[in-house]
Amino acid sequence: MEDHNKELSDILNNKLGEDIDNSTVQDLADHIKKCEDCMVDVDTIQQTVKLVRMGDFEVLIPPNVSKRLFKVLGLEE
Amino acid sequence: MTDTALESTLIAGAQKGDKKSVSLLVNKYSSRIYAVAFRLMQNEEDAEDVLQETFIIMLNKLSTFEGKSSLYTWLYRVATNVALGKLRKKKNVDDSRSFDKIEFENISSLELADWPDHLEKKFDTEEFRKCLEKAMDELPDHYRAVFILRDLEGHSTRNTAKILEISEANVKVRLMRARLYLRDQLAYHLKCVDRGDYGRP
Repeated sequence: MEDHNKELSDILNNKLGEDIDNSTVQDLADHIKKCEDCMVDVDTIQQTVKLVRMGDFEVLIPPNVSKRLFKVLGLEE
Repeated sequence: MTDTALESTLIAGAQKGDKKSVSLLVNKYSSRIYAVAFRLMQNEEDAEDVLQETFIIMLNKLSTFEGKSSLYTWLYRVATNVALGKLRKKKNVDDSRSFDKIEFENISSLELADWPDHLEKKFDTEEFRKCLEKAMDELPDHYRAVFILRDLEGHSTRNTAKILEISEANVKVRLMRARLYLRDQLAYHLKCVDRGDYGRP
């Protein structure tokens, strides 16, 4: 295992979810595989996003809200 | 006719005052605008206000819409601006919700341990849901808006930047901070942090 590098970790978090399209990010990806702290860092952030998504229910517009919107705008539904 | 061509036709019709075209545009986008308004405002009443204001603005400004961005992006931008404006006003009125208490520079300085397996089962508890809701609620509006648009609504960094009228770099920084803040709140809840370092009661 490599020593954890906080600076690399911050760059990594900034890139999370972005396309890996340059050598810096590839270097980071290589580092993660060898650094336990970074692995935990990435894994816990990914789990956080997953958990928040699980708790995020689908928001549907209530029929009465839609009806009032059309009325306010002077439109026929 | 493609979706883009159909939308252009509807916009052109609406700009000439054709009510049917306006109705079809409102029908097409009102659900998505309501969803983002609800996520930002976190209650039905305010979400409805944002929805109505957004489409009133659309009616008033549509004649000046030049199609530089899609109508969808333009409406999102209007809705998020209306919502953030309302939240700012609320913040001024309600001093008990101090967003400034969060020290973002200190986020993620804590020592993390690996999280337990089967977190999804733990998630089923009411207590854990409340912890998530509280963490989302505590996020400052401009961080929450980025998190909602990027991680919940699935917009790209570029589109999120356009909608919020901030730079892509700013989107990335805000998203990182929002994710780290939420992660740290959950970590604290899961008791995976070194409490000595975190310094919470």
